[in-house]
Order: sequence, then structure tokens, then C-alpha cells
Amino acid sequence: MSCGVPGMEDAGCLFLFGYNPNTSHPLVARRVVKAKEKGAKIIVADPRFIETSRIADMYLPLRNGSNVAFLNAFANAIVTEGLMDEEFVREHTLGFDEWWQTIEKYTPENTRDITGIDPGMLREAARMYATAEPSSILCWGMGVCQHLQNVEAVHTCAAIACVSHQIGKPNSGVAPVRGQNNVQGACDMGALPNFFPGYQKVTDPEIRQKFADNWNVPVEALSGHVGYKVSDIGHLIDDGKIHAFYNFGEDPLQTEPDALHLAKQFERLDLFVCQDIFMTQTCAAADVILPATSWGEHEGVFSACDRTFQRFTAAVPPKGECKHDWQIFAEVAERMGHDMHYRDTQEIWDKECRAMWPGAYGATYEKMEGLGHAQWPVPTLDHPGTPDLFLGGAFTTPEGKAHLIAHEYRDPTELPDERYPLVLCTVREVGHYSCRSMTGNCAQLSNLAEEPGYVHISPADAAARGIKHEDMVWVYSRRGKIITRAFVDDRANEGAVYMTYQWWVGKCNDLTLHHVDERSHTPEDKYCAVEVELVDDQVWAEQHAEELYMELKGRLAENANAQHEAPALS
Amino acid sequence: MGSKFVIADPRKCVGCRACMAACLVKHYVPGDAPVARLNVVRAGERTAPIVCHHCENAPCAASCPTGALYADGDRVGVRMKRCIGCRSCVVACPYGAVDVVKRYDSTNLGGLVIGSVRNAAVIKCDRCYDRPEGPACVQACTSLALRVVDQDAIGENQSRRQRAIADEMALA
Repeated sequence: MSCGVPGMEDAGCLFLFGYNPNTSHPLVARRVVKAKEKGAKIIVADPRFIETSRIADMYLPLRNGSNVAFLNAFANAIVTEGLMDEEFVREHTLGFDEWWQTIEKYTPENTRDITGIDPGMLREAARMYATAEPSSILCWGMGVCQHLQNVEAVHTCAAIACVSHQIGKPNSGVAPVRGQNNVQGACDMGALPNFFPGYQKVTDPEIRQKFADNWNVPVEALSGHVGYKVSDIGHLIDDGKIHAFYNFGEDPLQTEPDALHLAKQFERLDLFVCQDIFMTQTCAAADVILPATSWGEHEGVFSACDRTFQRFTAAVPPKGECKHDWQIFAEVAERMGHDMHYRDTQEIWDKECRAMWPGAYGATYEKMEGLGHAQWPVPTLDHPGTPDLFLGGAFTTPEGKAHLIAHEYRDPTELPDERYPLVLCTVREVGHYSCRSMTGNCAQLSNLAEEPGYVHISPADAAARGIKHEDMVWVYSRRGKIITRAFVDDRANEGAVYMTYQWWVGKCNDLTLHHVDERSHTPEDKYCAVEVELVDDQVWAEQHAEELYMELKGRLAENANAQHEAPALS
Repeated sequence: MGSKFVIADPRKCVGCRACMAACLVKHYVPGDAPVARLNVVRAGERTAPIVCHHCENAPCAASCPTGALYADGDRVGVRMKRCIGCRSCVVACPYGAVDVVKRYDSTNLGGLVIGSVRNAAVIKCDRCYDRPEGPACVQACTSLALRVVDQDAIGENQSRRQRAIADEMALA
């Protein structure tokens, strides 16, 4: 994010595009409510009538998958309505003419058939966003990132902020929130195939030398090649390029698309190591399981989506054989011949992060004591941290100017047809987190929402299929078929259904399409074609779903019981 | 006329269901049913937790043939063991804030469960009468949308509205 989350309360306008804070980040949703109370205008663009739509000044129900057409038309309206800040564009951006060549073609009028948005409404929203005082923030979430044209949409969002000069001043700019807790931290710390900690490129020889010196290894030991992305693992196994997979803190058989296919690919691995805190479906498929500690058992630093480092401490000590992730990594490294020793997380933070990343040098453990925090860039010990990036239009490109980039609109990969007439969009639900390995093991939260989960369907689509609220239904796509419960929801738009990816029985990732974009390799989780059908025998359906759940629970429990057996001596 | 109840401000509610989780946790004890006593309704343009108003002339208590529900002037209380699961209260409540579910009572011998009986359980807000900090839902609300109102608060609100109307009339 170019701004801070607390600063959202002081913006004049919040434009939520493909972001549903109430289910993914209720504490950010509270800030949206407070901003509204302080007089901010709220614009929501989402195919579903999401929670924030209720308090929005404008709600734009765009069609699923039409993001880039919508954003291009929005950018077009800013220019053609005379809302552009020409001086800011001249002084602080590059490439306007080329950008406009593409954007010019997408008017609110000629994109209406793609987006379903009334042109007058789109122009009004553009005016509201571009003219808001003192600033506007453009927020987006997975509704942008998990589409085929994700990077394209991000480029256009950034360009919209630039041409309307809603960036480069306090509490303005772009607010891409994260899909998971501490995704920002994982990226900050170099858990990406192209970066060392602090976004320092693995392809840069000087950077490699710096890290080689710090780790006391020859520079040749550090690869200068950009590595693979997690979404590519399946087909790289097929291609014979990956033989071993060390997976930690993820349950890809629940969270990755086309999970049935991925399970088959994992079977071909020579070595599969899983490091986790619970027996997940993925762990059950592993050769080796390394038991780790949970958030309540360890300490460290989280990064919020607005670049704020926050230190947290352990509430209870680890149980049994469980060890902290960093201890497990150090022990594995040692057995592989690399000397790696740390006393505690503070030593790791000081040596691996603060010493190696100039922008984080001022983020000391002392500064983050108690409720303290540090927002990077925080280059010196007495630096207060940086809530707002690019102030005064000072961008971090080599030229110091923002690059305006535009893209042509493309249809999503798998369009609905006669056999699969509905769009399946995966979403979040408040109360369960991600793959549910943690919240599903919390009895109280399980009591609020249990298997087989729900598929949210509009009243019209439900009626056309003879489906009533809470009926058991089949949902099927070209990849798979699952049983779940229907939630007839007047907030869902016609032609689309919505499922969360946490359910084991009603598992949407048995249906989703494994198709990634060329740049970020993010799966197109927000769009594939499915059909929903009422199960004829409802009594059987209830029993069947229960049996599937019990069977899976039993299998995982049996796998977990192996921990109580003495290891075989060899 | 003194009963207190929990009320929600739908403009502040973000629909996070922390209130439901807190309510469920409060009732996650042996002999009780682990079900939230309030329900966050999210439909169309409405989002708000629906919870018992502890009515002075409570139709649920009036319809209860066994005294499992009773109004004592302060609140509408529950005597769970008396519930026979007839659901008269569910039909009677104009707020839809009462439900009847299955509850499992286990018989223990030492630490060992030797038997389990299925019973009916009336699910309704008890206003956390036995919780010194007050209702768990109010304490858990992430957006300060829930509060307990009593006769004083209602009276204050009433006189404020009366004054506002009087002002309007004076200006007209």
C-alpha cells in the first residue's frame, strides 16, 4: 500500500474495487465505517452486493471478469471529463500519449456491454473519485489479483491514481490489501523466487555478493536465476523438473486450483516434505512431516499490508516435538552442510533483515516493544517510519516518475456455456481462515459454520433450478463435482455463484481452473464455468456429505496417530 | 418497567460475527448448548445482529407451558432443564430471536462418559446475567455497534426525539 491503513479514515473518498473488507479484514471494514462517519465518500465496484455496498455513496455492480474494461473506461472518463491533473501528469509521469492511445478506445458507453455499468454512473463515480478532497484511496483485493488480467488491472489502477493526482499526497494512492496475514512479511523477507529480503534482486551480482558474504558462502552457491512459483509446481512435476518439494505453512491440496489433479501430481514426487502445525490433507500426502509451532507458540515480526512491522511474542511454549520454523530450517541447513545458528528471533531480525535491508534498519525490536511498530521505509534509528509513499510525486523508478501502462481488455479463460452456464467465483467468509486447518480445529468457530459449506446463489438462479435455501446441491465443472449446501442469497448477482475455499466436502478447488497469468503466475480463482443442480434425494445427500466428512477426518486422524508410534529402527 | 436488552446500530455493524463467536464461547460449557444466541442477519441492504429484547410482556414466556422461559421484570430468563422442545416460544417471538435445538447431556462417572441423552434446548439471550463484565457480545463487538440499553437510555432517547420534533414544529 502507498498509504497507511489508519490513514484510510482521513481520506475524502475510498474506492473499493474487488475488495470486500468485511469478510477478509473486519478491522479495516471498521476504518471504512469511521471514514464514512467523518464524511468520506465511499464507492464500491463489485459483482456482488458486498457489505460495504450498504453504506456506499455509489455501488457499481460490474459483471464478473470485466475489470480491465471497467478500469479503462473509468480512466477514460477521468480524462474526457476534464478531471485529469495535467501538471502532475507532465511533471511526475511518463508514457501518457501511448497510454491514452489504448485508454481512448474504451469509453463508458462502448464498454457497457462488457461491464454492465450505466455510463452516466461510471462518469459520476470517476468524478467523485478524482475530485474528492483532501484525497482518494483506491483499494483492491483478490477481486483484482485472482483474475486472468490481474497485473493489467493493477497497472490501470495505478495509472488512474496518477492521472487524477490521487497519489503522492497524505492518505492517498493505492491500497492493495493482502489475501493472507503476513503475505506482506513473506514478500518483505524474500520468500519470493526473484528477491532476497527487502526486494533486492537475485539477478543482481552485487546483491548476490552482499548476501553471500553475510551468509559466509561462495557467491556461486547463490543462484542468479529467478526460481519457480508455487502455482507452477504441478506442471513442473509433470515436466520432470521438480522431484522434491518442501512445503511449509500451506495446504495446497485445499487452496490451489484443480486440487484433484494436483494430488495426482504430488504422488509423482520422489520426496515430499511438509512442515505444519496440523495434519492437513497435504501433510497426509507427505513422506516426511516436520511439526512446527503455531502463532501462539512463537515470536517474531509480522508485516501488515501497509508495510507496518509489528512484533509479537509467544503466549505458550511449544508442545511435544514441535519446533519453531526457524529452528527447523537451521537444523535442516546444518544437516545439509551449512552452518546456521541463531539464538533467537531478534538475532535473525538484526542480522538478516535490518543489517541487509537499508529500508528496515530503523525497525528495532526495542521500537516494536509492546504495542510499538515501525512502518518501512524506516532507514535510521530515529526515523518515525513512512505511512505515505511517493509524497510530492517522487516515485521510486530510475527516472523518479510513474510509468503509465495501459492494456487491452481480454475475456476470462473459461466463459460460461450451455453445459456450464454459471460463473464460479471463490471468495472469503468471516469466521474461517484460508484452508481452515487452524480455525477448523477451533471447536467454537466450527460450531458457527460447519461442513459441507455453502454455495451462494442468486434467488433467480436458484428458482430456475428448483433449489431452496439450505438444500443440498451438486456443483460441477469440467474438473470435478462436489456436494454442498445452497445459500440462496439476494446479494449474489444472477449468473454467478460464490464459494469459499475452506470446505473439505464442498471443496471449490475441485472445480476451479488451473490457469495462471503470464506475469505473476497467480491462478484465475475468480472465474470458471460451473453448473449447480439440486440433489434429488435430500436425505441421502445429508448422509453422504456426513460420511465424506467422517471418512476424511478419520483418514487424517489415522495419519496423525503415527506420531505416537515408536519409529522403526533401521 | 425495567428490563435491559442488547441493541445493535446497523450503521456501525460490519457483519463480522465476533458477537456470535463470543456468545457461543460463553455457552460452550457442559449442560448448555454451544449455539450463538444472537444472529447476524446479512441480506439485501440489511446487516444487523438480531437479539432478544427481553420484552416486558414477553410472548415467548407467556406461551411456554413448563416455565422454561420466565419474565421477572428484569429480563426473560431460561430454565433449560424444563424445556420440552414444543417450540411455542419460537412461534410466538416477533423478533425471531428464540430457537429450539438438540442438546446432548452426558452422564459421567469420574472422568468417564458412561451415557448421553438427547434433550431439547431453548436458545435465547440470557443477557449474560452470570457474567460480571456484562454481555459477551457487547464486549466482543469490533465496531462498537452493540450496547446494552435500559429504561434510562430509552427515556433519554425518547426525550431527545421529543425535543427534536418540538424544535421542528417551532420552526414550521
